Amino acid sequence: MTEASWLYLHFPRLQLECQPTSEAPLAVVCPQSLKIRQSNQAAQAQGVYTGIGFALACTLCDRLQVQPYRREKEVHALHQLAHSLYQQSAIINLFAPQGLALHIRPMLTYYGSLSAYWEAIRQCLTKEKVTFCAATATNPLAAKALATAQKANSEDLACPPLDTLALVYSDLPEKEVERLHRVGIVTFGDLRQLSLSELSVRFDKSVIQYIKQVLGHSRVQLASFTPEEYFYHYCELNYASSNSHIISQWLPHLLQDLEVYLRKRNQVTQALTLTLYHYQAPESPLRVSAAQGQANASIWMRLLQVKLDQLKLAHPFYAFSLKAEPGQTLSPKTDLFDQMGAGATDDLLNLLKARLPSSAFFWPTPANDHRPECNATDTTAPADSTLCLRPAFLLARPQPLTGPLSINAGPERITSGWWDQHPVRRDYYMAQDKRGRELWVYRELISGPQSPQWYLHGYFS
Amino acid sequence: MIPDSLLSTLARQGHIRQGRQLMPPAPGIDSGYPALNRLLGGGLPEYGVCRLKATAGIGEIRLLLPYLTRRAVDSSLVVLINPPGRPQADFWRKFGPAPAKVLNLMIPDRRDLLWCLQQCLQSGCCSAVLVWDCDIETRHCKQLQHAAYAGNSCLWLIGDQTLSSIPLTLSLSASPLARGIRVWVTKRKGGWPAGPVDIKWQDRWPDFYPAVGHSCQPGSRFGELGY
Repeated sequence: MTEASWLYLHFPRLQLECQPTSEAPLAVVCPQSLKIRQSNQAAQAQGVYTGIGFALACTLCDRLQVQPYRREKEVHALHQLAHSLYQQSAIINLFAPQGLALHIRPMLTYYGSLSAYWEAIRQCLTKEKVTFCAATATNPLAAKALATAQKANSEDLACPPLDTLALVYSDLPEKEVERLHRVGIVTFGDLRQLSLSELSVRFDKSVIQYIKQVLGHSRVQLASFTPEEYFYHYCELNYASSNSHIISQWLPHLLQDLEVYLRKRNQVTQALTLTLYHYQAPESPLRVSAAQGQANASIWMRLLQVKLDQLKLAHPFYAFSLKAEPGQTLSPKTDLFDQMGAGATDDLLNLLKARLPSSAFFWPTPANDHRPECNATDTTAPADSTLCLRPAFLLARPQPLTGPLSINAGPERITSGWWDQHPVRRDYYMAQDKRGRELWVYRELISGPQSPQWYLHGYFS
Repeated sequence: MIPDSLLSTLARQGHIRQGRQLMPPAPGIDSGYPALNRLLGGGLPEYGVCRLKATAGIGEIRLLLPYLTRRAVDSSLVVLINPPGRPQADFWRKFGPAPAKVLNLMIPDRRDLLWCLQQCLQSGCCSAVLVWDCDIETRHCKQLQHAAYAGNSCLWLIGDQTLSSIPLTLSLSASPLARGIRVWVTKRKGGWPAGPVDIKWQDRWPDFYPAVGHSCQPGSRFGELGY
């Protein structure tokens, strides 16, 4: 066992396990051969096992829910598993759609022993709630054959030697296994006894190639796994739903994954996009953002919950995905003691922005312009000592004045803006009306035809 | 007959409440106007849901501004919701909390508004929330009182419409005077209605009232200027 350098993980029920768990009997059927490929525990209790025909399965279990086998779904789930395992193991190779080969040798120096390494891997897989079969061997293909023959979720890695293993568990097509069987070759050990040149006369190139690789005579081509640069998770439901609260059950777990993902990289992300996929309509994205970047799962949950509460679904959705924008590295100036300070303000603003449109927000910003309605952000605004007396509130649109007023102070003439398309030439006064309101009024000096001359522009409040 | 020693013990422990006593439910913060402080028995409340009945423009912001400035410490915000106009940066720079601490929200929808009030009050980073022309029901008021207590914040309902009777911490009513404002305490927790008290603007806000002899003629009729 010491020379084993590859650990192979086989996931026999990946398509069933990558979707929300169901109490009802559920099976995955191969659309070509109409044979059961995967079944859940409820289905197995009624006799629906892998390999039996679809018709027999239906007779055994009348309430059986059936899904077609979809390879791309399994490949996606495999990538997600590889992502979680990447924290435990550095070199991962994908054997799509159902397997992962992990290179043990480099990791042994880190873990010390194979048992410690296997324990870490096993804990990770148990957390992901997948059924797995595992085995070790000197090359990945041999490990794959051994793993396929292993018992599911077994705690130890001990397995019979490859030579005693039947060829049924190999990657060879069924037809070729049958042909080998006819000439008396039943196990991998039988294959080893024969010379490959003799076999190549009767079998084609791909069979010989596989035999060479599995016996360790030639190298195996591997598809190595590299983690994505951003966090993305796609999840499909068992059935279409128009109740967005279903997502709320899934989100905490997903956001926890996101938090782990970001914390491991010392990153924060500024925006999340939750996309709902509909059958009869284009997908609907929900975007929430945090200006300063955030990794905390509970804060993201709160922001997404605000969006979900507002959501009115016109069509049912069958799947959803969560994508985080590429993270930013966390700045080191996080203050341990600043509990209620700027952080709380940012959290509040993020929360408000999740519900209110951006047009609802307004920050008064000083402008380097004498026209009161100009609010361009400008850093070169005059110093406080030279500030003129201005009203607390300025009307967005000046209103024509009606009724008599008495003038308290003024005039202050403002003539500006002849260089751009908004010239202003006005005399401003502080005035008081009959109701005692202190108003900022002006007389328009650029007279148009029949336009009123006096306007109300602000309240001194 | 209750012995005197027992009475004094109970009184010392605060178990006896007398009608003429002021028992403000929240600590007072200096309003910046000594006369008003005396009337309120300390100042404007630190947290709670308050009301200021005033027509927009009679000086309602100037009445609250010293209190708001005193409260807007550190990075806390003053939130203005649906005010009669956009807050003008120069005014806030000159007199009040820095414009960067003033957030103006325009929320036409009532459900959004109530949600927003609750979030702002309980966040702990808004020293005061001022909302114009908003009528709230008793159950909302109670909820907002809790939120304000949790976040040590104060909600001010400003406007001149008559509100339904709700359990407010403090309700003030203001009417304009010539260069001043008259304030009544119409309702408060732990006390009786009081007032009025007259506040003169000249002492606190001389910029608004230039001395006679300035280029303008105070009190000159509007019509004489050619309207």
